[in-house]
Amino acid sequence: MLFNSIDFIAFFLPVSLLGFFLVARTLGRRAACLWLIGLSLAFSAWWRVDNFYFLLLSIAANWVFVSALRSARRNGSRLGLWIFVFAVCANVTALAFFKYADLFAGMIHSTFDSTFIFEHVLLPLGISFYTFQNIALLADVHSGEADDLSFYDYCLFIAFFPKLIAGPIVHYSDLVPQFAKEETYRFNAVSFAAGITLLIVGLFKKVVIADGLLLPWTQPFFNEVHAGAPLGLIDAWAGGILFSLQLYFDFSAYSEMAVGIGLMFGVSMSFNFVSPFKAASAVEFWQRWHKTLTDFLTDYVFTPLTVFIGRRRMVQGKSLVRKDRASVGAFFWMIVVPIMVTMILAGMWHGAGLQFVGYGVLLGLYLVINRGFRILRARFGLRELPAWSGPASVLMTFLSVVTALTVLRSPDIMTALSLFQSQLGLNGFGKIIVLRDWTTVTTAAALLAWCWFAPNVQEWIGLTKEPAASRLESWGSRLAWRSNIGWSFVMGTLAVYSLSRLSDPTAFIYFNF
Amino acid sequence: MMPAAKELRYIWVILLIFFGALLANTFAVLIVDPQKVFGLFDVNRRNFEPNTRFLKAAYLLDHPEFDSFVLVSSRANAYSVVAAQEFAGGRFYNFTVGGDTPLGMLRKVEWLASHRRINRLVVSFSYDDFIYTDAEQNQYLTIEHPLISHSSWWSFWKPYLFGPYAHPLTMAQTLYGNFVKKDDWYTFDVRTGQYDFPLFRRQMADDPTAYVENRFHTPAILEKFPKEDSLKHLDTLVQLARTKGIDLVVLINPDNHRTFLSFRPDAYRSWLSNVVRIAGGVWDFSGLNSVTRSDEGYFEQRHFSEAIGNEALARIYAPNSALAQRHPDFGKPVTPENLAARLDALNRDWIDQGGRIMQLARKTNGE
Repeated sequence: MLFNSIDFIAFFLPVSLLGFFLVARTLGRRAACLWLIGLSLAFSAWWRVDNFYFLLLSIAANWVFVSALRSARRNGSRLGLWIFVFAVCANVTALAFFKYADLFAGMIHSTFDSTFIFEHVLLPLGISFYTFQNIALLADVHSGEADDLSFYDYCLFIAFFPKLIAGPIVHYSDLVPQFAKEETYRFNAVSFAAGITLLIVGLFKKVVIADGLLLPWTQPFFNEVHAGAPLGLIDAWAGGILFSLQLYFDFSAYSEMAVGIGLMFGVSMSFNFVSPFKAASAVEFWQRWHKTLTDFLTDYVFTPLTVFIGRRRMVQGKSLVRKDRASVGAFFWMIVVPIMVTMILAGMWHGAGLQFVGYGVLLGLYLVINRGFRILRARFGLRELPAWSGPASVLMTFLSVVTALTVLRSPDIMTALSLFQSQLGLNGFGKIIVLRDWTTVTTAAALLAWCWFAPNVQEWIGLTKEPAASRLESWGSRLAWRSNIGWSFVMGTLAVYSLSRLSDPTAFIYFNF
Repeated sequence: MMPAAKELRYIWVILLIFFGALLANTFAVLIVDPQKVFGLFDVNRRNFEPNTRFLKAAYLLDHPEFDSFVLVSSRANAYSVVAAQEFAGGRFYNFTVGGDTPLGMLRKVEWLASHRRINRLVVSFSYDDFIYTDAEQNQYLTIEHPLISHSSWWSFWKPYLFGPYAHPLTMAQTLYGNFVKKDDWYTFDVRTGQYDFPLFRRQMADDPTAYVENRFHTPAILEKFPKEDSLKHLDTLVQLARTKGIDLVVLINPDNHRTFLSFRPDAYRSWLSNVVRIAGGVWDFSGLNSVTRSDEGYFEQRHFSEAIGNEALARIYAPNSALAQRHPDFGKPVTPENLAARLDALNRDWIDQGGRIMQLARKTNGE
């Protein structure tokens, strides 16, 4: 079921919220948890019942792993490490099977010219996200941080429907303790008001901006790309920028709706996007874009790998990276290798195909260049940069990201390379498909201005921990959200307008990953 | 004021606006009912096309007297049930619907055969009826009656309550067409299953040249090709007709030359060969003949009027009638035996006439 469907907004969500608070009040917390678990499983089955079966299988298998790990820990057995390795491998293998089965089947088919008919393997909805959450949980259980986890808590942690399909990827310690609190089961008007606002803003961003405005412009661009037509310089950039905006408005909308729905239940989750296009470097971009994936990859891939390499280098008496100082060897082994491994994995997580590896490589290169530049700046004493370098860095980071996201959206690596050539101007100016009229240009400019200069939704609502007030003050405090009558009318109208555009809901782009 | 009171008021106002608007719109949909799928009020009587698939099936449920049917897409609306009854006998009903596919046709025949005796079926196709899947054609306008699609009533009604046909603009269009617009451009008679375009008919009679210039255009060469599944659905229908002892006539529509020449010759010949092989024989009114070369009797390059449709019926069922004698080159029975000759003749049409007629068409189209 899509968040941007009438089924969800007018029926599923109101029923699940009403039921949750009523059940909690009349039958108690455990019953309310069961209600949420049941609804979440129904939510997964709504689209295809296979999603439900696979989610159940994943829950059952991982609960066995969790129980076995805990048992091994209690007995002080060294078997725990092997169980942990096996459990992680099982999760990764299942994810890899669903992501890569089609690709490998196609390769076998073409290499051996086989006559077997390979059935298309459908990716279970949300598997990329709940597999990562399972791995994170297994790591926590292995290190003894989740000893008090009950089966109900575990089911809710994995299946909680607002974040089931496309995140945010939450940590056990972020979510489960909230369900242990008494106040979560009592209706909280403050949290609900913020949640419903986020839901409506997200719905508007998805339905009106991503699908209504941007999709009709990016579609002809990618149709040309699919047809193999070499694009001109202007179109390659215009299409890339419009797609980057579409992806941002689409995915951030989903994430905001997910966080908003969570808040309506009294549960807070991390925001996935923090004005990513305001980033002035590749490192900063990753702290702002799909943040929960970055956090996961940092915690469970990058940091352990860097620590592992660092320890080995220390044992061998070799130099390490210290702040912004590094020898060539240390830079390669402790920065280039962990970054490239992490980013290639991040790319491959998005799907099967060399274009996804290319996406990871490109992002990894940006990060390596960024870190290298910092070290060079430190070495040559370039502490102070001219005033124009700030906006220039934001622009350069944005254009680099546009290139990478265009690669991500390309149907294959050859098309990605062709698009890259076009963006370098090697295919000339060509005919203009995307920027056909001034409406497209002005709308794209307005959306870019929104992304660059306006506060993000969490700042606007006041859900951020950082002191964002200064930005809001300069923006005009009257425009900051308050739970007053004026804003309720604005939000109600936005909701009704979005509803009128709901006629043909389209899936969120990130459901494909 | 309690600490959360203003938040509560904020929430209530949003919920009231949202659910109030949703409820008001739902009531309006039930009253205006642009698609006529709820049947509570009879507001839409003209100028806004209802869901004729649903209306025809619902009407047939209460009228078991019909034993003969004309089927498939909107083009077959031109085969008048009155003419069919006159030439072939029986009680005909025109069960054609806009955008229907061979799968839709099969489902309808299976449904009809499940509850009544069918004597005659006239199944009329065009090449491009085979290139779209049911899913591609499954617009809200064309959702089948739940008894035919075997879906739930809720999944049938939901798009009409909350989809594009529940949009206030759609309701405004319906009200404008029914109460403000003076000319009837569209009317539908559920008793025959046929719709009509009175305005176009008048325009055609008043100034045929201007009508053609305004309404006709040259379609681009069609780069989509028939689906294997569609041929399988035709095969299933032919088997069903044989099992049930139904007199089945498969007819290839007399598409206007502009449409015919937009088809890829190789793909068209292959498709026709398959249809003839499956059906065992067809009445082929396609190609370039004295009817299809002219624009007379066509609403535009895809749809023809009863003048042409009835002449085709006469050629099949009343070959000695005066109507059947009007254009001797109009329509040929094609069997596996004379298929090769027919394919050669069609090929000549493309080679000899294609370029000239396309030039004429472009001229007409002001290109």
